[in-house]
Amino acid sequence: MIQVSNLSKRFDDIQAIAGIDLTIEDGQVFGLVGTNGAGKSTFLRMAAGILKPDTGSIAIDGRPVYENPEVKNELFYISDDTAFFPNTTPKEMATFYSRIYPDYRIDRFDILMGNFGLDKNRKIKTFSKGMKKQLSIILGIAANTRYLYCDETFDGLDPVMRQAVKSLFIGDMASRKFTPIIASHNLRELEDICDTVGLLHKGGILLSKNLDDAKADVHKLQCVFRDDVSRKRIEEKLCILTTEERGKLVTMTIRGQEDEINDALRAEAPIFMEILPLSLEEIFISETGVQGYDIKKIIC
Amino acid sequence: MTSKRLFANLLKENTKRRLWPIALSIAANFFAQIVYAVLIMGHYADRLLDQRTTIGEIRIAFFRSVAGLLNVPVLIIVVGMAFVIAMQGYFYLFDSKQTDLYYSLPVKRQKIFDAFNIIGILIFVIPYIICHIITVIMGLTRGYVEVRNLPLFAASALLVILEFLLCYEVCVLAAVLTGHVVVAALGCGVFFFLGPIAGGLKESMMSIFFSSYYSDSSFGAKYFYSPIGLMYNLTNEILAGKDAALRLYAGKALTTLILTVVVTALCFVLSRILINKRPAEAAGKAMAFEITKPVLKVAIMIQCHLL
Repeated sequence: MIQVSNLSKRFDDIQAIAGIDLTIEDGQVFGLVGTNGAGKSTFLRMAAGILKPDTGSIAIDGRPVYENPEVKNELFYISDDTAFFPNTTPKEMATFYSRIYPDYRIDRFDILMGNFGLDKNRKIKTFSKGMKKQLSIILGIAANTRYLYCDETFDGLDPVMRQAVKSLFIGDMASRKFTPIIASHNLRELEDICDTVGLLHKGGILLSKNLDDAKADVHKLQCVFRDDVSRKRIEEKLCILTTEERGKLVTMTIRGQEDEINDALRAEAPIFMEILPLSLEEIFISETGVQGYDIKKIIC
Repeated sequence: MTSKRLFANLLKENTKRRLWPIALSIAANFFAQIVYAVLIMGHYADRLLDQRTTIGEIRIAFFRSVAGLLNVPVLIIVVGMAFVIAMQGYFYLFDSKQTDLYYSLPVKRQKIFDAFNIIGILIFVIPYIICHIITVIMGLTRGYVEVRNLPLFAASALLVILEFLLCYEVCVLAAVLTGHVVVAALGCGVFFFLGPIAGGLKESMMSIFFSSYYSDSSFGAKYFYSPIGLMYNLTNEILAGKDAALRLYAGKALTTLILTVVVTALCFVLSRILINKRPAEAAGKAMAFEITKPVLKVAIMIQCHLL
């Protein structure tokens, strides 16, 4: 478990991270979403032990990460602009990492390189940006660490590769202790892979929510009410977060359990009623709208 | 993975990344020692034939100027290679991507620093020793070196290595204190030349303002506050100045010798301490530590204004 307590980091006049408190449970995919400059990379770099926090702490199972090789053996960091040694091949990079990480699996690296169709003896400088991203993911997975920090790693991948990597993560999570933490500015990117998503804004965590819980807690439905009185009764009975009207058709986002909402609506016998699937973006919009943030300015 | 095995792996991996400095060191030592020795020995042979010199004088000259502390090409490559090896070895401190790569590894920063330091030293020392041995063997075959004097040649080699260590650790300190390779190079310039400039300025100011001013301090003492000044003093004292003899005057040079060792050790220890305190975000910035900025500004600006 990664425990973050009152974490702060400042670069000269810029407060990059401001008092973050967060817990990332093991065995789930944690997504960290935020716009450019929100503090995602800074957070991940502190979690990887690269940057020293100004205040607060970041620990794995109670052990601080910074300058702690024993803890850092359990994590692998993939930066958004991954550095490789000059004039090296993927095989040489894998050899380097295998000499540093105790559980590195060269055989896994070879298999994955084959699966992804990358030549392990070709100079990395001849790789495209996407191929370098794929290589960095392969190197990270082959490290066999408990945690894999991916800083905007998915952003450079094509849709086919994205699915392939997601399958890899899911497979590893099923077979061993593995917790990927993925930072991205694209909420839709994280939607179908993440179990928990944290929203970072101006260095602070706006909210951190398990997606299943969030989806169970907020519902979107469309209905056509018989009359305004019926509609008003519903608005008084349920916690309506947002309402959108198109003629008689009313689309509402409601906080509450599905059964409770269904029962309340059926009691009013609307002309038409349908529960719609909520996207992650809509959940966040509804959650943060309550806190007074215009989420559309925060996420894309 | 045990600590020693990890360290050995770091050394192995770092060596792979240092191929061009290794090649440069081999080439530089080859030309500065072996090729230089061949050229000079040809010159000695001519002078012997013409009876313009004696074998004794040649043996002294060979010891001092070819396989010893007064070999100018070697002195040049000692300073040059110290700079190149330090900058290349610690280049990761200047590049944020490389810093992230190394600092995300499960290795303490000091361990990375130590591994890179050791490899940097070996990159110069091994080719130097090999070329030195070859040079001495060449001298032996020509009769310019006597077997009984071999310990002196070994001591001379150790002194050159000490001079290299001094220059190298000063350059490494400059790299640790800064965040950009150009600024680090300028930092090396400050460490090497600020002392001599200050000394020279003092002498010239005194001469300008006092018509009867006379300084009897030796060249070396004036430019003491610099690795080059230390090297000069050490060489001068240990070879007893102009008194040409086939010996090393360790007694006369003891203080300077100890001072050289102390300064070298201090630079190493200071760098080792600072590498832990150096923030990773310093990569790319001019200075890694804010506190050094006013100190440097004052030191450099005073000299510049006086100039």
